[in-house]
Amino acid sequence: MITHDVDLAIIGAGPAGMAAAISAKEKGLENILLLERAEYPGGLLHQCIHNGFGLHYFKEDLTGPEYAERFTTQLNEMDLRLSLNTLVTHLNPDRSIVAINPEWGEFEVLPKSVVLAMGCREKSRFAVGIPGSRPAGIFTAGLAQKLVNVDGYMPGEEFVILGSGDIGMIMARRLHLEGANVKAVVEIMPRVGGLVRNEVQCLHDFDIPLLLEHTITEIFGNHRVEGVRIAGVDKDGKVMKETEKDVPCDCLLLSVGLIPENELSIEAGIELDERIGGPIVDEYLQTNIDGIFAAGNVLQVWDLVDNVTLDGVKAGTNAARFAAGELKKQPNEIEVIPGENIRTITPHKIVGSEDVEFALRVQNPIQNAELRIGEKTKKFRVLSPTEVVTVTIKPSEMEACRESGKIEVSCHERKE
Amino acid sequence: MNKEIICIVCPLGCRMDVELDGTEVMAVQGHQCKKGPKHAEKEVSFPGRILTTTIKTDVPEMPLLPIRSNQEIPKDQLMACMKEIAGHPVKRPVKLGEPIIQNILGLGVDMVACRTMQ
Ligand code: SF4
Repeated sequence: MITHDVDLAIIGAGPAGMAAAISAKEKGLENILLLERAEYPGGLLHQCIHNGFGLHYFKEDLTGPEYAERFTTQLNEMDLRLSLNTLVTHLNPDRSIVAINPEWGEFEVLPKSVVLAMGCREKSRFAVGIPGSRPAGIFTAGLAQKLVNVDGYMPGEEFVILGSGDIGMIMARRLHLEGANVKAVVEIMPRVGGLVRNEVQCLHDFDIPLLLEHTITEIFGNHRVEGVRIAGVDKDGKVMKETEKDVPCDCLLLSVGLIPENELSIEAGIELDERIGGPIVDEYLQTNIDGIFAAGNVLQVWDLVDNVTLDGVKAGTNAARFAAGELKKQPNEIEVIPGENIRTITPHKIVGSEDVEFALRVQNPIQNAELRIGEKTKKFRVLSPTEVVTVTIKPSEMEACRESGKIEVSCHERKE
Repeated sequence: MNKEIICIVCPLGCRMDVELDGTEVMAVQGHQCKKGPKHAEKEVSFPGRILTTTIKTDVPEMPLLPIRSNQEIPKDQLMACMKEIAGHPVKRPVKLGEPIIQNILGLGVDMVACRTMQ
């Protein structure tokens, strides 16, 4: 078996992995290897042909492929080593990696540091438990997106989409533009799961029906999907039988959420945050195994790719600092405690004495919100669960927390 | 005439009740900041969108090339543009940002390549 000794191995060459590689190299790390499963770098950006990427990072409105090419060009210019068609099969607690590709067969990588950048994957029908037979014509929205935007294949003619996450709404528009009949986007919650911008520009613009507080209770068809049963739900999320109606269609798309892809992390013994599904990390994005970092959607499902890039920059920079022996830990850790109205938050603990950037999502939409992180408060006109908020705290603002070993984060409505 | 327009400038997504005289905004209600009425005015006078889609290629490993409009296209012309694009397969090589269809439907807008195709 071939063995590669490297300073940094990065698993996944999507937006997080590419940014990590570039930043680590800029920090002076020479021997970097990017391992990518697909035949090209860039990850999901290639199939996300819509615009809205890069508004924060580049101050420009780019499409997914344009955003990706900025980074792939840089990878080439900086001469970073990229191993494509490469599947990582094992990650061990000592950071060693086993992978396989057509060129080297099965091979081993012995890295000084690792960045996990495997991204996330879509929840499937199994996750939402819709009864019925198993006909052809049921796709996750992201798979349909790849078929339509990359492979040039229309998966059906008449669509129903379950879930109003951004990918679901964007696919509704895309399919409509390609001449398909999108009969409904069905959402169990009283509001859309994605951005308002997408509700307006993907659904309203093309008069695509949006059924809020509805769900799908049955899928019809044996060989091919022939239709679905749609029903309203009450306040407790219970199906109201009397509202059921059957809608013929030959395709059902599921846009019911994303989960960080962490099989390799689990194998290595990396502890995960049960609520988010990603590794437990400190402010350097380091996991419980020294020298293994996590960045992007493998850590938490971000709202914007710009934030994934920034995460990658952070992990790459810190991996380089680790390799150079520069990452310092304080003797007493501070544990981050999510309080009222906080759905997810990273980092989970603070180990150093530098500025800490928190990234969080609230549980429910709040107007005139006040976010409290330890002693510090910050005001927001509005906070929405569809957005990730980032707040930076200085070490001087955490003195008291260092004593108690805890920092609590919560979000309330402001009392004027 | 009254029309509901949802402001998309921030995640609050205010539902605004907009009173119209033809394409002139007479009054706006339901916004929570001054960006709302401004957005309403644009939606009424020029409801334009960036069109992003794909175009067929002659490259078997890359059957589609992603393309976009370099400016907004009037909303009611989007479907017509899609038909126009369907009739134009593209040959390699293509550079990022290269115009693939110039002045589509005489709208003064180019459809440009979103990636390099060697
Ligand atoms: S009107 Fe102001 S507050 Fe309301 S959605 Fe628009 S920008 Fe946000």
